Amino acid sequence: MENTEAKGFCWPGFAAGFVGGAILFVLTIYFVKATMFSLTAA
Amino acid sequence: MAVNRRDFLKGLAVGGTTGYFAMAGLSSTILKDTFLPNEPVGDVEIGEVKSIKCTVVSETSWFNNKVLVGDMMKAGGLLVNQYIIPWTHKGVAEGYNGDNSGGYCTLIDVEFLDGTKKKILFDCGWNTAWMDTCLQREGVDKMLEKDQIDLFYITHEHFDHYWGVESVLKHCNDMPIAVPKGFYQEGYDLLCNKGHWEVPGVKNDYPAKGQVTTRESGKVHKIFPGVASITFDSSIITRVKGEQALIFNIKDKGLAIVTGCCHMGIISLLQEVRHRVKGGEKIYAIQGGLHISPFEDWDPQYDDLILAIPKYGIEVMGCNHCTGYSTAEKMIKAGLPVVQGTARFKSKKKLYLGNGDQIVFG
Repeated sequence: MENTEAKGFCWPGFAAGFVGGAILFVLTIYFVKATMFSLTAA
Repeated sequence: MAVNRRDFLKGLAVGGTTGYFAMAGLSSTILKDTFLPNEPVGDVEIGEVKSIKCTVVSETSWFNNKVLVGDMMKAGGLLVNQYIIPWTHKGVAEGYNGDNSGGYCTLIDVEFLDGTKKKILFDCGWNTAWMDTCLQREGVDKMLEKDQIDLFYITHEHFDHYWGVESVLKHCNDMPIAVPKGFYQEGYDLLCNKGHWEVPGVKNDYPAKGQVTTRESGKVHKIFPGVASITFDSSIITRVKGEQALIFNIKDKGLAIVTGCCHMGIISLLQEVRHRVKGGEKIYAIQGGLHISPFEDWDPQYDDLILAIPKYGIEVMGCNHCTGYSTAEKMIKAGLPVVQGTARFKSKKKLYLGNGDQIVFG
């Protein structure tokens, strides 16, 4: 039976992922900065 | 149009990956200044000196690490108040007449651009019998009696840097004295009120009569032209707070930092000087205790310090005392410019400047 649902690239999904990915990168940077080994601890 | 869930998830995955790497690209190019801001540059102008000469009066603060650490542990641990610890003053084979206490003290001769000179006595050691010998050996006792010491500078309240105060004040007690913010009442009592503590074995029968200045943290204090002081609110073992260090701007060379124990951490000290003092981008030399392996223990994190120091471009490292011989060995191996000593007057090794050694910056 023929699938009548729309096929192809989903731009709304891409947009949501793009924003989410960018935010994830920024959060990664802040996480690394916050947990980074501190040289001043010695 | 209805959105297929599978297509949406595919788009989400592709978009997420693209967005992640797109932001990585932006952060290292267009948004670089936001993510990696330039280091602030110091703007406090302190002037210049022609040269300084540091004479190590004593860098052997104690003679047996195990005995010293044992004293603290038996008293309850490293954070116990130093004034209630019964330090070992007898029966230590390698000690001075059996006493484990020694002291840290340096004489700094400053030559200004106009040719005038000043002397700064930097800390005063611990064991008064040992310090009497050391001060006499370097002629500091006579300098004190002739009022030739222009400033008595105490880096911090630790026993090995400060408790020998009687050895200094009995020769001269009216010179200006500088202490860091953080001194406890016991510290001021020892300095000015004939403080006397039986348990740790410390006293001073010669109260200071000169002006005592307590220097706050958070700013650069200009002392003489080309000479400044900087204070840190460091919390240190044996319940001590606050430490200060001296900065000299040596003409045509750069900044030279003289430190007592460097409890603020060498990287913190270098960074703070770089960020606050004009010319801080060129730290020419550092002298004194760097507090990395004072008890000759080693932690992998210290390797990171050894790796971090070269980026400051220091040309001369006249370190000693609480730097630790293990650290000196590693620094020399890493190619750092550690100045070797002569291992005289109970300094154990030639790896760094020892008792009676001198170094000139400028």
